[in-house]
Amino acid sequence: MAKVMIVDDSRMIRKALRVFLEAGNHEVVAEATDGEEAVRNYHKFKPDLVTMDVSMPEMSGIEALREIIRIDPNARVVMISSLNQKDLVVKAFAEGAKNYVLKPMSKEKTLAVIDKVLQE
Amino acid sequence: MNKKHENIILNRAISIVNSAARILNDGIVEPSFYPADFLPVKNIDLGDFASEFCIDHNCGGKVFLAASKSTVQNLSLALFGMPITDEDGEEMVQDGINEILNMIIGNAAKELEELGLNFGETLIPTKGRLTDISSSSTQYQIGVPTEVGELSFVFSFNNSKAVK
Repeated sequence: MAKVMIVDDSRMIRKALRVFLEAGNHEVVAEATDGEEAVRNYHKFKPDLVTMDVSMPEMSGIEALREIIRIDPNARVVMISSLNQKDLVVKAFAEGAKNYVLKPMSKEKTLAVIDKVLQE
Repeated sequence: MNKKHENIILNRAISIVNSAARILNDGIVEPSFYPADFLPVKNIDLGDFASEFCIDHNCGGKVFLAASKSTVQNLSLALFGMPITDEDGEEMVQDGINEILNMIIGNAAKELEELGLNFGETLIPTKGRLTDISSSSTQYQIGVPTEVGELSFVFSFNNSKAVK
């Protein structure tokens, strides 16, 4: 079981990920609706893993990822993206993201990616 | 509106609806798209919930995705494995249709770019009739039947803007 922070500006996606993670016996310790809140919450809650939406208002997922990696070079961040955001996902990997999940995401695929990252 | 303009609009619409088919095909009947159904209309009733997306620079072109509350709730379950219940409230339903349109447009982006469009990412929740569209725009509607209800795509183009 891992402590996970969900970062997404969509209420529906946050709810879906929470449902998936709790079904996989992980604990959602924090949520954030933008990159700035994600960085603040990372300091506060120190999750084992972060799911990060690529596009968000205020501070983007890539910028938040960069900040989190700067704070914790061992941070495990999984990007959540749409099909047209492949370039951003490649950029995220260069910034230190561990893996990604494409929308629409299924519970099985999401948990498989998260479990793989946690085991690495 | 000339034939070339109509063909460009039709190509754009096909790209977007085909993207919807690819997304919706996961467990839902693939929607059928008949070009004969693509007719210019005015004063379209968007139904319960809708989202507006800019598919042309300066929003000279927009696409609206409209669906009933129950269709959005069922689509969320089918696409994400997550139900949206009445307890979640209307905000969640609106969020759901925003996400669905965002995904569909994301999938269509490549085809739209190949058609020479600079497609935007403005996602504006919209409800009710399209009465705020001025007389200088033309609207086309495609109904897309699925197992969980009908989706309506409405394409609106400002006639005064140059079309590539």
